[in-house]
Amino acid sequence: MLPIAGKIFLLLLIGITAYFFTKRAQYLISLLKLGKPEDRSDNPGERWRFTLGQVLTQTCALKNVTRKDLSGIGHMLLFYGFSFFVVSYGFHIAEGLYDKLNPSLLGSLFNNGFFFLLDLAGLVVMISVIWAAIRRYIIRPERLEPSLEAGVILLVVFSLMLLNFLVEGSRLLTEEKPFADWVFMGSAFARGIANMGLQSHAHTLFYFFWYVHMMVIFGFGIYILYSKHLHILAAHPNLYFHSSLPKGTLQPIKDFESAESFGVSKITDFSWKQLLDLYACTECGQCSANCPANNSGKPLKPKDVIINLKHNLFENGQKLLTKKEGEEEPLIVGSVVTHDEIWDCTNCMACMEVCPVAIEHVDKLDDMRRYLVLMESNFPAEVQTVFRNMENNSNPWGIGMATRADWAKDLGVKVLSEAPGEFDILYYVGCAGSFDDRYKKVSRAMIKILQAAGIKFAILGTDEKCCGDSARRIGNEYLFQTMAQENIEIFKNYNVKKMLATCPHGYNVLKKEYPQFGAEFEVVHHTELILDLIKNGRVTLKGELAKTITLHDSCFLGRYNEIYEPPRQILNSIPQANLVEMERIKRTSFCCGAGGGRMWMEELRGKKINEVRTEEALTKNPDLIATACPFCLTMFEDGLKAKNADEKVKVLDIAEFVANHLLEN
Amino acid sequence: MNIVVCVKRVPDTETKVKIGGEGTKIDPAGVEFIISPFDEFAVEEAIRVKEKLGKGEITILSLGPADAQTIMRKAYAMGADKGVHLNDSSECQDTLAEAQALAAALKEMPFDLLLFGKQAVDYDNGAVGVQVAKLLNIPVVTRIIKLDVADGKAIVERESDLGKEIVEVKLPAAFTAEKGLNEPRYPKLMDIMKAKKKPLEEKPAQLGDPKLSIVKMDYPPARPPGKIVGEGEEAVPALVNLLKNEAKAL
Amino acid sequence: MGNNVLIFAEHMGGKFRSVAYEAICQGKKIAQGLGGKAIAVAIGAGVEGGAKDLGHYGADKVIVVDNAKLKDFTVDAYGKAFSEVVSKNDPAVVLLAATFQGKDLGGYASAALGAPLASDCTEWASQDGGIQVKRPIYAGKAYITVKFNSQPAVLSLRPKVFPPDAPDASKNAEVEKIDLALSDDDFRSVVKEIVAKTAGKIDVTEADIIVSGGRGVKGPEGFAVLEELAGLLGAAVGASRTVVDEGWRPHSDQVGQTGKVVSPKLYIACGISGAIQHLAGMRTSKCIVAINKDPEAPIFSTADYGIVGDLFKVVPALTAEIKKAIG
Repeated sequence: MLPIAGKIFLLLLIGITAYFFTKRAQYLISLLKLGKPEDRSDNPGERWRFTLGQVLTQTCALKNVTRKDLSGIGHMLLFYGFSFFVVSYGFHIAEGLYDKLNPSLLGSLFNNGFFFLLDLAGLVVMISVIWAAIRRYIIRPERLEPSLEAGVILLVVFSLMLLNFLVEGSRLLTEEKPFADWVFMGSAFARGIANMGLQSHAHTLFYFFWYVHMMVIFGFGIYILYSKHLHILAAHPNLYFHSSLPKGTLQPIKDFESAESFGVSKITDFSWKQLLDLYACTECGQCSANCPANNSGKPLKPKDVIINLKHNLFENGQKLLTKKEGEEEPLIVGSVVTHDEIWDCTNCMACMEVCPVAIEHVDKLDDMRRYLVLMESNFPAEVQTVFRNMENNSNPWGIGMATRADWAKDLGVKVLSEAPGEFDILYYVGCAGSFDDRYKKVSRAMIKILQAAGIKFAILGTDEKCCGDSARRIGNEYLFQTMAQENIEIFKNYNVKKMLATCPHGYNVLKKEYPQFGAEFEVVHHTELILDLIKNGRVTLKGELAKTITLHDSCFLGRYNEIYEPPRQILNSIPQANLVEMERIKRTSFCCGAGGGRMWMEELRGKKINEVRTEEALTKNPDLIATACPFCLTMFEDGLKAKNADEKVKVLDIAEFVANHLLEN
Repeated sequence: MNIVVCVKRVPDTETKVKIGGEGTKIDPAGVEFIISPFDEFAVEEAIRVKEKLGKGEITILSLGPADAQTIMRKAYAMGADKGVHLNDSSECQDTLAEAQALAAALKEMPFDLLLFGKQAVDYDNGAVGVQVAKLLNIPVVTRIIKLDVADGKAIVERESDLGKEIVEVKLPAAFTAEKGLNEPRYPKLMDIMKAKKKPLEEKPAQLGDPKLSIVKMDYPPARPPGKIVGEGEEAVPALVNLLKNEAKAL
Repeated sequence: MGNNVLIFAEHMGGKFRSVAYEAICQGKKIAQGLGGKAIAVAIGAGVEGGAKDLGHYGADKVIVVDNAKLKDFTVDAYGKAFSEVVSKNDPAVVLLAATFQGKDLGGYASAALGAPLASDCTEWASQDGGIQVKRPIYAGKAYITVKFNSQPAVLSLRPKVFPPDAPDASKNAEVEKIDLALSDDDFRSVVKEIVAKTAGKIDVTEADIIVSGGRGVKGPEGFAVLEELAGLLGAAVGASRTVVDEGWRPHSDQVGQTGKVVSPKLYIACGISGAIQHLAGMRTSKCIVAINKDPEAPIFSTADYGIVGDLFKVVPALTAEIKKAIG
């Protein structure tokens, strides 16, 4: 189609673009290689299914669509539209280089269909871009930056659509009629050009727009690698290489003896995958929008952490690649990511849940915590007491471990440390259940339920030790592994096969993280067990609740383990229970503030997270707040006191609800 | 600057004390052992002195059974350089005999500063520091809450019945550490790993025959279960009576 | 083999302390059991006056070492003086009060005399021509009965456990003044300064008694009644975390898991519910009193004594009643 000069120009364009693209891509890859090795090559089948599933169905974007935020739909439209366009570019280039190629060769049905869809795609993309621009620059939701870069990208995409229509329009006005009548946008533009009296220049216009269109496409192609739009190329590999570990688990440090350092203090301490996360980020801000720290006025904004790390990698990239052996590398801990940001995180995973491209924010922060704790012994002062208490008395409060089973005296419970024997399920009571007066009531409620159902259970008694979840989440991986290994030995000694836990943190760590150290036990959460008992008629509920209840989804039960329905079904099994839901529930539940070891730390910045969540619960005017976690329970009780609502509203664990309504034989 | 810190392995302070054996010793089953907390202040202070001076060597000395070495390694992880373990499982109650064994070992260990905790939280005598100092004929100041070392002298602060005392002491000298001297550091993992490789010399303890012995060990009279004395102001006289006569808290 | 009891008579602020009388009283009883004399030893500067009155409490003799250089207590100098006097007086038992000075001197004397030591004794009994003592270990979680296998034996008595008998003014003690040679070597420790205790705020970590307030105190003004009680008892005023977060009290007063961990002899918790974060900071107090209007408050399960009621009525009543009781 093109004259010789044109073909040469096109080839030059392709060549130059390929050159700069390749160079930049190599550079970007070399930066990734600065990261530590990590094996994510397992399960290719699952990885392909996941990636294609997320991308092709646009689940990545649609999962975050709410009544208030429909932008995921906009993304879907843009994605499908633009992807279709990319296919058409192949045609354009082929057509440009090979004279014999012509759309009419493909038959009128194909032509009609293809170009109709192309025009439709182009129109949809243009509308989406306008919608996006209005949102970003006029409505200005907090999570989006009205930045220059974003503006350039939107403008370029818009102009690509526009240029394509101009090309089509002017082409239609030339004597060639290469394609069919369903090119509705092209036709409209053709009419427009004609109306402006430029019909006689159609040929010139066609070639002009054609070359400009190509230049913009190729220019954009290079720009992609220099901007946050790198996202469109990095998102797919990032989805592919998502973590195949059980959801939310942290990776263990494998070798304490010979390692030179622990945790992350420099950008190159991250693995290549953690660095790839930085490329995949398109700065959508969903993570920050859902972060409890950010939503309570704290410095931590997950998006900023990722962006700052990304910029740091780019700023120092050249230096790092040409660094000589023994040269100092700048620290990122305490500078690029501040101490406050590192310690503010409650590990709730709201960020990761909503991230469309599977970025792992929590791991990065916890890796930096590992550096601070293990390498520098630099952590909030009040945490040292907690570590020592875990070391010496196997509970964070440091209460004498010999008294761990005192709560169960006179309850007719089989205590293995006093008399080993046979049992079907081990009730792992946990530290709160053993030592916290408020939560001991929940342990007793649990016993009542188990006994009413005739379950053959036992507790470890004084041989039960702290599960170590807080130690791990605060970053003391060494202490955690010591505790985990000790616990696994004890479980094995008592021949434990199945365990019941009431605390979601204990549940999560026992079920998903202890296997990293050889544990092979079945673990159930009490809400799962109780629902089972109700469904199988092992317990019957009676009486009337006749109260308004709102349920809080604990992060470590909900997002981490996707246990959303059992607590609801249990409550709904109680006669006359009136369950009203908050807005932020299930996968978008708002953290109580105690996770990530924050239960043990002073909250010095911003508003108290537990008060934010309590306020939210109170907007539903409940009589009762239901939880299934000792941390959440404490946080809500403190929150209600702070709001002077503790007389009106009470907090109860699911076990307490059930125990209060047990029909006893 | 040579510093020696004497540490003792004791049961954790939350331990439920169970009298075992023939009623003269505690039952070690289920007991978690730690460095006596006051000794930990002494170890931490030794490290701070070394850090401030930029030089020095810290030796840990411990008289006790084989697993005293575990707690010595914890002191190493904080920053001590080496140690001497005087192996003795007799659980001798005679502080003087213990002091004599320590002093015998210390005669071979040159030091400028000799640090102890003010008392070991198992037997609570608070005597060994002073006894060792006297046996070695060096000055001793007990219960220090601040230590500054310079030019062959130490300036310390301590609480006395009259107020805060500032005492100047010629080195070599001994000091026993009181709570408030410092906040012991949490060891870095690298230091915990390195501690496994630091030198630890084991010697038999030269313990003479104890000059006192335990006839028996008893529990204190049981603490009565908590009770609600009454309601409102009317209950106050009964409460004060209980505080004065039963609890002897007033 | 001696049979005398040598007693350290502690002197402070121009007179002998009440613990000295306690020790002398017991010393006399022990001496009677051994068939020997109760000899008090007074060391310091300007301690001579009043020495013979120690006889009122049972001392048969008082040996005085009075020297200007001994104005300030150091264990090296006092220890030297004490041990020299003791060794020359046929000691069977060396007796002190388990005070700051007494504990230090006991250690010194034990090493100087090669004598076994038992500190902070709460009971003693004559046995087989010697004595046995009982003393607390593991912070009072157990007690041991100790017998001495050699003489002399050094022991210190826990203050306030052995109130002295009423003094008998008809009994006076023989006073002997001794000049001891003290060299520079005895003064390698020198007290440079004593900063007297200011009647000011007592820190919660140092207080023997703490009066603590929680949310029930309702505001900074509410603390006035607690401060009055604390003032009467010479106690520190503590606060729960809520109170500190609200800004009613400074962070240095905060008792709890993330505040200060305290272990006073008496902890009076007013308007504090007793959630575990607070308990973690004061659980090991020897005696815990709780005042709260909620009978279900968790603090009552940890407290030794509790009053269910309005703290604004109970605390002032408590202050008034204690004033009467202490006199």
